Amino acid sequence: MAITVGNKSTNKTTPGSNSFITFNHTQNAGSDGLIVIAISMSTSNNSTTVTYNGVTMTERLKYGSSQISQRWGFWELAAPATGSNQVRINFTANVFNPVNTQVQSFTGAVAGGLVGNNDQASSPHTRTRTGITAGSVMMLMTVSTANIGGGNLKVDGVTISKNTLNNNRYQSVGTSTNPLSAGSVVCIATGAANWNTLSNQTLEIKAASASPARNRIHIT
Amino acid sequence: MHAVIDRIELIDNVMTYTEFAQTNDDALIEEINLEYDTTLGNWIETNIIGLEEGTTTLEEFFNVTPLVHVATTTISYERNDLPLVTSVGEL
Repeated sequence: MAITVGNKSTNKTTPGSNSFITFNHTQNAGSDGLIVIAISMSTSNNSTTVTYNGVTMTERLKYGSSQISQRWGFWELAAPATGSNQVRINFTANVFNPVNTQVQSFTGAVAGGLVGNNDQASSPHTRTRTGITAGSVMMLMTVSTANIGGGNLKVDGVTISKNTLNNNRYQSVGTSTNPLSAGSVVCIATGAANWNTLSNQTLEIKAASASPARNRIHIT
Repeated sequence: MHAVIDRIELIDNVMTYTEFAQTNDDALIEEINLEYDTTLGNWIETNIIGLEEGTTTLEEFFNVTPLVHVATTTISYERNDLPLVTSVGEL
């Protein structure tokens, strides 16, 4: 089954006197739904749990970068409720720094794809991710101290659509749409200037298996 | 771009974001977020050390400015549960 990349929400919130953030996101209708949330925030605090419609999401990556004082990660949830539902991100304490969040819906997808994580490197930051399953797409996040809004993200040689948020650090996230071949894929995060340094995080979104063909019984 | 507009108020000493409208007007989104940056955003940035240490409280800001808006939740779809606004006068 081919993956459909669905609705996207981006949110930048300063929780202030709260130890959580809430906002709504709409999951598309369709079989084999999946939601992935990419979060980046200051290392002065920490996220604990993330829920969608009250259901706890699975933490796939949480990494603290001492290089740029940011913590980032991916959370995912298979078979989320469709329609508009609340995203809630809980923190260990009140947070007075803005938190960048990007939410991406899929249908025709399953959880559990491969995760890649590399801290800052010079632009273009190129990584080859191996062990990719045929039919997958790739979600790519990069974080930088520089304004990388004018940069680009490439997966398998194709520039993908992205959004860039600024919480005193910059977070760009995009998702490829072409089904990948099995094996390896090159993921490149390029800054707006050649002196930029930026991170490279990937999450493989795997395609759901096609429903097995039913055996036809002939009664004679 | 399509964005959700939140009200930000201090309710029971908690900074509360309430979704109340949406807009697809880029100029309005820019205007709302510029106003946020020059008021609450700038105040938090200036006072962040005191806020984290607990020597400064958000009441000090909200006693002067009780209500702020922000439009930093962007969406790739239209929400059918929020009214569409096109001007600051509707906030």
